[in-house]
Amino acid sequence: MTRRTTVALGTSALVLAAVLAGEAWYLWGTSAPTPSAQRPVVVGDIEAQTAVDSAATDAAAIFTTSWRSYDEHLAHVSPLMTDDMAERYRSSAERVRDSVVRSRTDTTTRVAAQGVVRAGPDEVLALLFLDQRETSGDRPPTYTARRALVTMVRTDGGWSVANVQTR
Amino acid sequence: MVSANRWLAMLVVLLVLAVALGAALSWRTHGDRADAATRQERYGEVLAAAEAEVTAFVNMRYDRPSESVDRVAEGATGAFRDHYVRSARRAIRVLERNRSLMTGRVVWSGVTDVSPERATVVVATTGTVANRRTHGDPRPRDFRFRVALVREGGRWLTSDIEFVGDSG
Repeated sequence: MTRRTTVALGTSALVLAAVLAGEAWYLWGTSAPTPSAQRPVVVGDIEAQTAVDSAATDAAAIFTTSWRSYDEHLAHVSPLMTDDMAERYRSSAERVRDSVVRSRTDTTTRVAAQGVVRAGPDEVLALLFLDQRETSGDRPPTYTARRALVTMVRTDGGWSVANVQTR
Repeated sequence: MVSANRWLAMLVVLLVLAVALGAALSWRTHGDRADAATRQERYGEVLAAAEAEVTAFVNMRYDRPSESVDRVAEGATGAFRDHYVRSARRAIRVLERNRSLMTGRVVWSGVTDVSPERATVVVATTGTVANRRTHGDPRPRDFRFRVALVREGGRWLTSDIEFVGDSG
């Protein structure tokens, strides 16, 4: 009787342990989904929105420049970007610096509309419609409607701009 | 042996409690994950619907005007659809008179906001337009759209399309 009880208890313990392991795997062992065409946003609405809002604010700041404070602008917006993006931005900005200053060009950028294209835990793609107003010297202003795909990545300091594609 | 059984019995009781707790957590997690999957798939559904409607909107042919109009009307609803269908006859005449050929494709699209019943999507397209004025030569034409959608009968349908300026 005692032996049969031992076997029954031992078997029960093994079965229960197996069930518990299965539950633990379901709760903590499965990986989070990655963005796909069917599920482009795999984070919460607020999290995705926060990243898109950051993309809009940062893009407006990055693409608003003045010939009067061009060098200060570069220093001001670099912290909004990843190191790699800041390096690429600095390199392209420096190439056009002389022409911007010589032509006394001011560019003001505002975000006309925004949306989330894809969002995962560490990377979010935001579509921004940018309206740019440019003045050069005494010439009348010109207006350009742009579309920008901004890649935001999660860093220690929050969301940072990792890439900008415009078309 | 009796002492060992006592320990085993205690272990079984502990495991039963742990399994019960695990079952409750798993049940709740299953519900949360199902809700999240529904919410996440909604993004894909509204983007696909908006892209299909905008693609129809930027592909208009003077030689197949009814097809072009029907494709837009099929994905539309409400006042927007009524207005579009009502004005289609005049639009077709303009297409034919100008021998207009507009082609385009979606470059990027993103969700501005979404709920179970409504959504707003922004869509960027690129393409060309050719007509009498361009002597038939296709000219680049890029657009920015804001698309409002509503869920009706299990489908996402367009209730409004708005141009957000254009960079053409």
